[in-house]
Amino acid sequence: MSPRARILLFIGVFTVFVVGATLAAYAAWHREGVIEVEVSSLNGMGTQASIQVPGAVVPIVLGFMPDVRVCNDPDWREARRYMPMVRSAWRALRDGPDGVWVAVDSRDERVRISKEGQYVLIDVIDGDEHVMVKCPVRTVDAVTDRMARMGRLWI
Amino acid sequence: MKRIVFAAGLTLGLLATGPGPAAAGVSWLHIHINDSGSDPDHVRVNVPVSLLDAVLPEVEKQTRHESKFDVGNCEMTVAEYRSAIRTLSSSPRREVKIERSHGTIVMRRDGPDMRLEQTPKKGNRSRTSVRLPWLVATALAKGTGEQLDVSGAVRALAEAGEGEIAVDDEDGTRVRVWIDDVAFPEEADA
Repeated sequence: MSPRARILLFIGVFTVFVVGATLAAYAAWHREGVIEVEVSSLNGMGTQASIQVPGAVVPIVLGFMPDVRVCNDPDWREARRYMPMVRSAWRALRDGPDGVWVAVDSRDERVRISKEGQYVLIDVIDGDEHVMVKCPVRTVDAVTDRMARMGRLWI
Repeated sequence: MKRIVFAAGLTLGLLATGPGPAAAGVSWLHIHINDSGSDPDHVRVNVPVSLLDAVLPEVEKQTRHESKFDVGNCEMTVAEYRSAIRTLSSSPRREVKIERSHGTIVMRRDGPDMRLEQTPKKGNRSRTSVRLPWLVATALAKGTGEQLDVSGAVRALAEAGEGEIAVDDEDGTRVRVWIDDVAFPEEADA
């Protein structure tokens, strides 16, 4: 094989690798969704902060967390018992239809916790502040699965 | 807001002292709280009954030896509740009164419902009224020992159709709990 052919082969393999990795990342991005947090002002100040994090990051980060098998903190020991219950409760909510789970209205506050498609939405208006959190269902799955695992492991 | 938290606690306390229902189907539990006091608040919670399957068994473990009724600022033991239900079953026109230092709890049948009313003694403001379907009230009493049969009560509430648990207090807080097949009902609190 001539040097020119080797270079072309290398460029071809490299291109396939880069395109493949990009497509895989794009697919993972779409599959896992995006966590969005937006803080805005209702008195004409516009958006104050907007953060978007790929939901795929969360299971990866959770995967690096070490398993804690012994925990002496009494509060954590108490909390661990409820962790499998939290996952079961979440699954019951997740498998239901879309809509508003919790709505709170008072003079200065308005809170909505709902599910829309593959996202859980938390929408809070407190005075002039508006906070919107949009979290993919799959991300909550990953977190609650991890919590249940921690609950089982702790001694 | 404190009143709402109290009312929610009272209602969830009634529901959360026993095992969950055996089969949830597609039924939905609705808890709507309206506080019409000086700082009005409205809270609406709509969750699938299957959620109780997940939550209640664990809560039941934690409260196995603590079951009691809190009506206003008066407490009633499970034994007293069972005794009152037996009395009202045999003599539907009677009233059962339970005296406490803070006030009196009065239980009576009212058509298809049972009413618990807490009347305060002098100096205590709070007055609370609880209405629940008679079928739910009797199902609740079928537990063993100091345990209420909350799973049976939830099933009875689901079967009650139009029936609901309603709690009113003197401060203007009203809590309604009911089960139906509508996931997210339109605002229907009257």
